[in-house]
Amino acid sequence: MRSETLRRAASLLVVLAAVALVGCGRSAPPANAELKAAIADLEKAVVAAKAEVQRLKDVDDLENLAGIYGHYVDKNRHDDVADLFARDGVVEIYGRGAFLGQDRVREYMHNLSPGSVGPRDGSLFNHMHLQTVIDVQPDGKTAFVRSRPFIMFGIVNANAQWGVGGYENVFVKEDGVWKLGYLHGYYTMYTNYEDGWTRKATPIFGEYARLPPDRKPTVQYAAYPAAFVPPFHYKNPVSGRADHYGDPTFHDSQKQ
Amino acid sequence: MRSLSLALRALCCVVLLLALTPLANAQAQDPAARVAALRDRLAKVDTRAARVADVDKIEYLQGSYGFYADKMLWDEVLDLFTTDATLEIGPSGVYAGKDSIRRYLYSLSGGKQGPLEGVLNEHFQLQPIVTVAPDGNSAKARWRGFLMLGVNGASDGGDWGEGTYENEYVKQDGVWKISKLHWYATFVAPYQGGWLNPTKKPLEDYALGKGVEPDRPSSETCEPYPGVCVPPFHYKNPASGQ
Repeated sequence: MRSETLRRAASLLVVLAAVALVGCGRSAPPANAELKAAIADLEKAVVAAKAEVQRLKDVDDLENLAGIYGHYVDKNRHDDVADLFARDGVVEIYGRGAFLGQDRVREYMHNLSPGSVGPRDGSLFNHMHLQTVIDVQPDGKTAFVRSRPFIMFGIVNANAQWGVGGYENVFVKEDGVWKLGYLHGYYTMYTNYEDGWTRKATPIFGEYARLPPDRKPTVQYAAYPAAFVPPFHYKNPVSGRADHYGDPTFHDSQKQ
Repeated sequence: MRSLSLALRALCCVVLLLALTPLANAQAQDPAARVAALRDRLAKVDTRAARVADVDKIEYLQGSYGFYADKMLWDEVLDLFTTDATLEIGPSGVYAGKDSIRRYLYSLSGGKQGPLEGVLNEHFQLQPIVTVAPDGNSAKARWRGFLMLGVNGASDGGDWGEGTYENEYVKQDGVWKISKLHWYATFVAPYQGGWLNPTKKPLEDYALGKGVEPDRPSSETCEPYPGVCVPPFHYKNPASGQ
């Protein structure tokens, strides 16, 4: 009985196998035109969906990168900061002028605390990096990010400062990784803790005598109490209005 | 032996077919149905991606509001609102419609727009919690507004401000706009002394329209600090659902 059952089962499997092999082995019959068109549409839709999801991922990556920069600056991690820059990346902060290329960015960062890397006792260097407005360009290789710095600077028992302003930064994808292509920091108000911001304001910082820039500041401006709007990289997101109290072509010059 | 070998091969093939269930069984013979099923699945992915993109756009919109408000670029701010939007800033009362909002905003800066020498008007827009409706046509968001205000030369050092936005947004012709902006003030307090001994005057100086009247009285039942104000949450606890 058992062998008979096995024999019958084997026969059944042979039949199934034959059916399956025909199904598995042969290529599908030629699709009709309608089906081909539907598949072509689907392929296009998949490509579009992948691009959109990539763009959303880029926005997340850029938001992280903006924050990561701030966290490293806080703690005087100069080499970590410089590593975030592209090979030909530029840093331009306040009236310090522009420093061209990652090596010069590294020099600029180390110059912030000459001879010392990493957090120091008695030193506060908080650079909060807030309110990112992110535009990834259609090619997915360049992005513009406006954000808000909120600075708390301190040297214990000696000096305490507040600072606010704006970043308008350019990021580039280099070897598949987002990096800082142009960090442009504007502070628009800097003052000392004791007086607050209506009794005293610090003029914009100029060039370092000990580290002259490669290029003069791109934008000449005065900080509060003067009136100044850091140029926007973007047009009004609803109306497309472009008269933002800044040179609307300014950021074209920073595209790489 | 030959039949056993065939049987084994058949078994492999059946296992393979079963493994591909349901795609294989129901649809292998019907490529059109498979394409339709994939199209449906992709549409769901597209919808989810669109909701994520909506969150990004609303953060972009409200972030822009803050950057424009900093510099009193009122026309830029106004562009962000729907025609029938409402605005309420602490005790300001409700300004209904873009024309009323325009009157209110311009009143804050003596009828001018743009940055004024000696005026600090920082409006940080922080900590967004954005909830987009499933259909993607409306959204609500809670934000934290953190303010640094002041006129150069004042003896008090300026003002701090802090409070919560509960805002609403709508998508019109594919573009997100602010339909309701409501800032619940926690306090506006002088830099000197800060929130140690708060009074309502700095908040009223900041928030009330100058020579313009709101369309409706304040909707707030909140008392600024040192009173209690818990701006209503537009969302339930995301972990407990309560």
